[in-house]
Amino acid sequence: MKSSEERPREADMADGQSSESAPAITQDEVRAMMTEESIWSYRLRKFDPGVQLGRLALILGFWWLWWSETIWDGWDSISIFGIQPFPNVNEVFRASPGATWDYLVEFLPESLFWQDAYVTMKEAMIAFVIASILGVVAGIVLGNFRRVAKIFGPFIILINAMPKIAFLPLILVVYGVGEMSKVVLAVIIAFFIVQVPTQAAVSLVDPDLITVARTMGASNNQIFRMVTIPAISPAILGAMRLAAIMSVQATVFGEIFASKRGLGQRLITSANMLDYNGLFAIVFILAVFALILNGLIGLAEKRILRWQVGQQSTQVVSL
Amino acid sequence: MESQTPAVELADVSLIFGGERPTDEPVLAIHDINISIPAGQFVAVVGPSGCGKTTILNMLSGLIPPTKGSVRRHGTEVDGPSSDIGYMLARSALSPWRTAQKNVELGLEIQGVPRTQRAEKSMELLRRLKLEDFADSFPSQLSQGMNQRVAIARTLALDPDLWLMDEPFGALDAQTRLTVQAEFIELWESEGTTVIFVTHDLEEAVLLADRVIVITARPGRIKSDTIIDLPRPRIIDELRFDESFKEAEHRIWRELRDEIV
Repeated sequence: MKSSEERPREADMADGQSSESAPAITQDEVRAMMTEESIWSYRLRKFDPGVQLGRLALILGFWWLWWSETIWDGWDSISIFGIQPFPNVNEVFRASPGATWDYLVEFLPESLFWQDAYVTMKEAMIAFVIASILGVVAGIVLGNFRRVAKIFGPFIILINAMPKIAFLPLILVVYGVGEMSKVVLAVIIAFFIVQVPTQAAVSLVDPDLITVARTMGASNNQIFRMVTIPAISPAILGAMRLAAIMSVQATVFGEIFASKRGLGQRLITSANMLDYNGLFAIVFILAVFALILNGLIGLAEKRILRWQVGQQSTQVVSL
Repeated sequence: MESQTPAVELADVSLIFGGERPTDEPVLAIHDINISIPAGQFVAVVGPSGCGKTTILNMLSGLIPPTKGSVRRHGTEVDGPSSDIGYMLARSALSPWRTAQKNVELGLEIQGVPRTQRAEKSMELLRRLKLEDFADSFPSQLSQGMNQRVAIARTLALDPDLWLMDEPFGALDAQTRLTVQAEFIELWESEGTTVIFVTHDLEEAVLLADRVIVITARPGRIKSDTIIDLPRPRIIDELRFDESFKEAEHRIWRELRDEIV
């Protein structure tokens, strides 16, 4: 991420272009005018100790809360309008960092564990890809063709308004308890996350850009390729980040509800056996997976949206 | 000149907006306009805001047809956008995802000009507008004035024989505008293309144009049509203070004032 202070806008340097009579200034002389900064000082500034310390404090604080078991009791005196946000947790249900770690160490080398992880990730990935493709295509079609949008619009809004998770029992009946039902649930949920912003972005494309292309004799096809697609790509990529995370979430939820294999299945088994260390360990693995997906889309964003120099509005989170 | 077919001709042109629904009140935007422009003339169109100046350009560019009357170029009816016409909008309307050079190449790309030729043409234009060092910069990295010059280069890339310009320098600050105007007029004086230049700035109109047409408040009609016979080439930053210029501007101002006040 480049901040504005490290990179002055080129325009500021260029507007005084009429100074032809003044002697030319060499790049070395320009360098000499700047306050000198050693490479280490620069690195330290970029590293930003304040931010890193803050992060470290958060991690340590959380770790202490968990390790010392402070997180589980001692907060029940807090009461807001008669509601206790942090009730004490029975010792049976407590998980500890050490035991969670032990669970990870025990299960990570196990091939059955990885088979479950593979099932969940496969379901989530397939759903994410299908939902992204369908969502982008539907969003573009509905955004471009007013009459198609008029026909489908009300029904899409209606379906989107429904709690899609409520369809899970029905999906299980139709597609069985295997992998297919999880994919279907995740697609239904992630589809709208992509479709809605894509359609909105299409209708928000700067009309001046379209006019310019049209006056230069562009066909509808060319306008679509050269104006619409690049203009909506930030919105699509942003939506896909959310869709990736939602796909994992929906898949795990489906597995928790009813499934043969998968981390969700493993998670609910642990919970049913009061093994909350296992639950935490699996949640941790799932979070790592979602972060990897998020990071991959972030990489794509960096490549595709290279032109957004200094504009950070669309970058949701970057580590 | 008289016997030649004019480069641009508006004959009894009227334009009505709205009124699609029976309950909608239709708006007469342009009423019976007749303009005939010989090839190579620089015409400025001034008038109060909302008088239909932009609408006239939209009709000339073929984006919207007139409700009544005909719009002709070299004697043939305009029936749609054409790459012979360079239309520059009020905002620079550059694609933020294209570098300055790629923005200039937009029209060439649309017309299917091969890559190497595109690069040559765009670099030459950038050089003429003193932007060659910024070929690889994105619009967000350039100042408004530079972006506006990129937009000029983009408009000229297809070698149009008619330039339509809609308040192209309206968004610039006074100083930058003067620089860009000077560069633009120098460019035009070397090309001699037909230009229709819409502006609300009377000083700009008189400084740049051969002829100034004043349009009335809605419905737009022609209020006055004046030839500006200041000599060329014009050094506009000096001309501004010249008596002959001030006199010409004042003459037209009296016409325009009735419309604004």
